[in-house]
This record gives sequence, structure tokens and C-alpha cells, in this order.
Amino acid sequence: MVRGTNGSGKTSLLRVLAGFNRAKTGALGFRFGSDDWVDEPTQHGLGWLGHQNGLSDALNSVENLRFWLGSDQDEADIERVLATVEMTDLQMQPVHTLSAGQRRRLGLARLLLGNHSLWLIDEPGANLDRDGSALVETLLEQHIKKSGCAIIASHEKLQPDVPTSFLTLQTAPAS
Amino acid sequence: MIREVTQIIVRDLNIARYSGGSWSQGAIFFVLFTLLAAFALGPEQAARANMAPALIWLAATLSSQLALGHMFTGDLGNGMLDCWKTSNRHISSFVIGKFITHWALVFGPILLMAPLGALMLGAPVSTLAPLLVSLLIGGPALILFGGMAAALTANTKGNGLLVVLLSGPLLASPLIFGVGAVQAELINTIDLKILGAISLAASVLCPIISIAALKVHLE
Repeated sequence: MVRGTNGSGKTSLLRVLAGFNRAKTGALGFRFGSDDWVDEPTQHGLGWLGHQNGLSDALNSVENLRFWLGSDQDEADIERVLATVEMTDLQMQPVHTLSAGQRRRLGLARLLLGNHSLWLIDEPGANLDRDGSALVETLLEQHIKKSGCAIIASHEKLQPDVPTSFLTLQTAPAS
Repeated sequence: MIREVTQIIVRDLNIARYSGGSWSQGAIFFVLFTLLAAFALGPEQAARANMAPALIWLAATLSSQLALGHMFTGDLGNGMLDCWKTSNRHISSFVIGKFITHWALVFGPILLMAPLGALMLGAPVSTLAPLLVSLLIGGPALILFGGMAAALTANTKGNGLLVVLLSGPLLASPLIFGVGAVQAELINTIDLKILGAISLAASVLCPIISIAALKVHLE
């Protein structure tokens, strides 16, 4: 769990970890299970949920999620993740008619569909109501119990019932 | 890789289905252009017939650039490309899928309208086949140059004009050889070969440059 005030670099850190940006100094290493250390988690891929949810406004929930289906997945998986994020009732509505919180839930559904062991999430609870935040905590608990790992940037008090280490970033003094 | 390209194509065709026909603005511009050109040139059949191939090619070149501004901005803005890259999918398949869909959606209707436009301009029926062949071979270059400009400017708001300014100088070469390839009843094979070479070169270079540009935008 990465904490810090606005502008302290939480998002930048996540984007460096995800391989979008290169760090100016230091090295980055990932290790999956008993595999060797690698510079980038390219072969495994990772579950990314940034500020944006990665959804096409014109399409509905099912069409959006169908686009992200893996080669070994089918429609049943879409129904499963939609039920998990409690969006089954709204599944045929175009995304641009959904509220910001509902889109966040869909973003989480897309993350679940990806089946990656490493999650990088920027403000998972953004726009979510109290139920939604509880949902995020439950999803994290289930993910960690399936021997997954998640790095989360958040200034909210998310308290998933799992072993958590905290990293607090501070804004560098102006030079 | 092929599966990823198909995913992009299917999704973009789906989005186009809901877009209220905005993909067809190129074809509509094409028809308008040729219609107005026919009025502008007046009723003298012989003069119009000579100019028809050049005007059709000019109309196709300009109208193919119209809808390109939004080619990459949407997926960059809504975070889709972030998710695409991190989930171990290839940006190359994304770009290739985009180019194929845009060729089909933007240039396909123009190809269908081209014979109609040529006849409106008074071109003899015998030039229709050479004209279509030259458009088929040169069309990819038009979309590729425009798409590359769209990728380079994808992080700029309102990049439509910028796309045309960037791709404009590049479009001159397919335009010259495209018009040159069309002669009454037969095809100027040398020009057609050069046109094909331009399309082939563009199909190698433009995706590579677009991929690099998008990677920079993701930073």
C-alpha cells in the first residue's frame, strides 16, 4: 500500500513499476513464484487499473469485457465478474450512461477478468460508495488468498484483512 | 498476435456501429467534392473527362484524412492502451488492427463511391477499372501516412488539422503516381508499380513509427 499526499508521486511510482516510464536511478526486479528475477513482468503481464478504467464509452459492459477475454475464457467468465462487482443489472447499458462509480466497478471487473497474479491499482476506491470500498477490500482479500499480490496507491483508509506493508511517500522539498 | 488484431478490429467495428455514422464523413465529403467539381467544371464533356482521374484522386486523398484525428486519441485518453500494454498484449497488434479497420471504414466507402464520382465527372466507362485499381493499390499509403500523423499527435487535443498538416507533404507522392497510373482504357504500369512501392514502404515504416510514438505517449 503506497500512501502519500497529492503530488507525492504515487502514480509516478506505479507507472514506473508497470514499465511505462523508466526510473532515473535504481533497478527494478520482479519474481513470480520460483521463477528467476526479471526486469519486466512482460511474460506474466500484470493487472493494471489506473485513474482511467480502460473502457470504451460507446460499448456496453458485456462488449467492453468481451474485448478483454483471454483465449481460454468465455462468456461465463464475463457473467461471473459482472456478478462479483454487482453490475449484472446494468450490463446492457452503454458505458457513457453509467456513473463514475459504476464505471470504476467495471474497471475492477476488467481487472478480475485479467487473472494476473500482480495487481497495480491507482486509487481503487475512487468514486466508489461505502459498499464499493468494501467490495474493493473483499476483492483484495480474495486475490491475496489466491497467492496474488497487489501494489495499491491510495490516500483512503482501505483496510483489507491481509498482511500489508505500507510505504509513505513525501513531497520532495522545493529546491 | 492475429487474435489480438482481430479483437481490435471487431471492437472498433462495434464502436463504429454505435457512432452514428461518423466514420462515413470521408465518403460524404468525397461525394460532395466530386459533385461540386462537376458543377464547377461546367457542361463541356471533353474537358471534364480529362480531369476526372485527377479530381477523383484528389477527392480520395483529402477525404481519407478527415476522420483520422480521433484514430488513437480515444484509446489513449480512456486508459485502454495502458491496460493493453500491461496485460502483455502487443502495441504492434493494436496499431495494425487500427490501420486495417480505418482502411475498411474510411477508404472502403470511398472505393465504392469512386465509380459513381468518376461518371458524374464525365469520365468514360473505360477509365473506371484503371482508376479503381490505382485507388486499391494507393489507398493504403493514404491511410498509413494519415494514421502515422494521427499517432504522432495523439496526445494533442484537437489534432485534426495537425494530422492533415503533417501528412499533407507525404500525400503528394501517392497522389502524383496515382493520377499518373490512370490512363484511358489502360494502366500506366510504371506509375502503378511506383505507387505500389510507396504503399509497401508505408506499410512497413508507418506502423513502426506509430508504435514508437504511442509508446512515448504512454510515458
